[in-house]
Amino acid sequence: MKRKMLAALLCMSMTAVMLAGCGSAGQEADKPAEEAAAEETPAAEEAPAAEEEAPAAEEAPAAEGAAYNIGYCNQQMKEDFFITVESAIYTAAMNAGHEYNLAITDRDSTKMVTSIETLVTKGADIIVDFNCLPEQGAATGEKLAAEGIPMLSIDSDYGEGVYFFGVNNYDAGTQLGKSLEAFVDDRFAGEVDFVVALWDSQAGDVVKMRCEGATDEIQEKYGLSDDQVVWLDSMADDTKTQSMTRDWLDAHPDAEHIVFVGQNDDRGYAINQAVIAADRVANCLIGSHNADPSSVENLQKNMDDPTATAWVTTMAYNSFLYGEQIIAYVEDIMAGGAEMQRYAEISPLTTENVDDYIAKRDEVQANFIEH
Amino acid sequence: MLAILWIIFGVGSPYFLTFRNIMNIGSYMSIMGTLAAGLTVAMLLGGLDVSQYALAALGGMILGVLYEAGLNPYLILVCVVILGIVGGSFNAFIITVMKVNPIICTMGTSFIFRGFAYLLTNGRYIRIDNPVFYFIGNGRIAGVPTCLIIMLITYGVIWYVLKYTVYGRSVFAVGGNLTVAKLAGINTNRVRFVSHILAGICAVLGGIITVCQASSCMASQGYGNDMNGISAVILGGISMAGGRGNVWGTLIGVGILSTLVNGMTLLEVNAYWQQIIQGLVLVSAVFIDAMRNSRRS
Repeated sequence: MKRKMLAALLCMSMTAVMLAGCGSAGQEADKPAEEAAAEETPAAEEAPAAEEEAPAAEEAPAAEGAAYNIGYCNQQMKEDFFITVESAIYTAAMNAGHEYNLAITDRDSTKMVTSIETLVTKGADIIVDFNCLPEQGAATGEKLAAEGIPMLSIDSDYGEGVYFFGVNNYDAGTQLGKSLEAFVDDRFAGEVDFVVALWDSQAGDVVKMRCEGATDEIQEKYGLSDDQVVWLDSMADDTKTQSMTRDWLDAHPDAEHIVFVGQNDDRGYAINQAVIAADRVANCLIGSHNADPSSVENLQKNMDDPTATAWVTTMAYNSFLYGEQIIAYVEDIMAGGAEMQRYAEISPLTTENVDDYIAKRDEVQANFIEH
Repeated sequence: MLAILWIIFGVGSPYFLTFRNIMNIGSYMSIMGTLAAGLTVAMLLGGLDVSQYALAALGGMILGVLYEAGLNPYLILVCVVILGIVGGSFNAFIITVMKVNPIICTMGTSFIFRGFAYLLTNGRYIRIDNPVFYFIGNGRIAGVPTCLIIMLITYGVIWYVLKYTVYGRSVFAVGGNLTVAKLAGINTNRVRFVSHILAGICAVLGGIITVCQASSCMASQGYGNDMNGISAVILGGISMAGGRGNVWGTLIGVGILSTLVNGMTLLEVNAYWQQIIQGLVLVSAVFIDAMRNSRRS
């Protein structure tokens, strides 16, 4: 029994040591923003004069030296897109000399409430939220506004009073549809039997528009009936996406010209796996969103050998550039007078331009600050 | 363990011991806490209820739909509590009458509840903007969050029922040894039936608090959190074998998990480490439970 008690105590000690060891950012974050910025930012070390010359923080534009406490509420750190955006924001915030605090919510509305409250407790001057929960976001935005803290939402419009940065999901879908149409004309001689959209109901209606834009575009161009447009809810589950796609393909052995639209690259990857497993690459074209490494790799494969994979296009949201754009927007908001909505630059990525994209992405990501 | 965590986080972050942060922990623990109070009763009987978060989501969506229909908020709350009784009775019927294992039963009903939650609005979210619901989720009484007070009242009621009523003593008897309880003349089915109704009511109370805190209803609320409540109950000293423990222990378990989530965010512990640490805490909880059982045997 003594041995067991000792083991239990050791377990608790290990947990305690890990908590203390993992919280490296904690001590630094506790310092005032200006102090932290001076220690962490190379630019601040190299150009102390800039700080001296800057007028009082509240009067000066942020770019000239004002440091803000930016609370970033991220929905997850499991998918490449969110990891990249987080790294990009952190890097841009550090480079600009701001204090940065992060909270992860697992896209749970309750955790979102408490996480934002925690960020406010840590002195956030502005909350940047990437939970894509419009109703919850609108309510939280109102609460923050009552405390005089602005809120900036990424990729999901939270309505009046909350700043928005991101894309118009429907337009992004339309662009994806047009990109797919070029492949339909080239590889299917302009024929489409079905458009199959793999979407995730949990992500909400706004994100669903990414798929709707694409299906509407393709349906209209090729005059498809509603029966030829199929919607499958993947429930954000990769395995489910793969099995649903496989089942659907098995149920339609005669379909020769199928266009798949994935709500994101995780869906795209699972669709592609199912298409390859069903040996139907020649019958399918896949388009998705995000330009994650998985899609980029497959586009390169397709460039070398069109029979190797059916994945031909993805919408590049340039997540690696989100950081600079968001921090610039944050500074404009804090300086006052910024517009309520600002859009990210997006472009379809295909076999034609994937190499250029990789070169640009790698160049930017090489300068990300590890944390 | 809770004290150790408070010391670590208190030393590690100057924000941790602020009144605002402590109330934030209180608000956060009110949801898991209310759900875990009901789960405690189910687990005292030696059974697990993994349908609680799904029933909470269904309760939340019912609240939203009735709110959209323009019903009086107090009437809506009554309707949601009735749903909790119906949901709990449904579980109880399957377990006691159809003799299905509680874990299997509640796994199945969690899909059913969650499915109905989605079906109500086809996955659409509902924004709630009403002073009564706002007060429940975000209001304060003497500086203390209303939701925290609701949770504490729930614990007080469950504690009283378990300690001072015949039914409460029967719960421990049935959880301790089902055969002996039957031989002693206890209507074990009735005890289990009532326990699942209590768990159902606590589940929808948790759902109400969730919706009121978030000011929105979504069918996916609490998705993937089912193990949190169970971890809290085990951490609080309720044996998985049933028959031992008390509801205040569960409250401490909830406090440990809520503190952990809050403190790790304050200390900016890496997101992946947070998962590992939460897993370690769960494993430790089961280990401690096994230790207790071996000592008992």
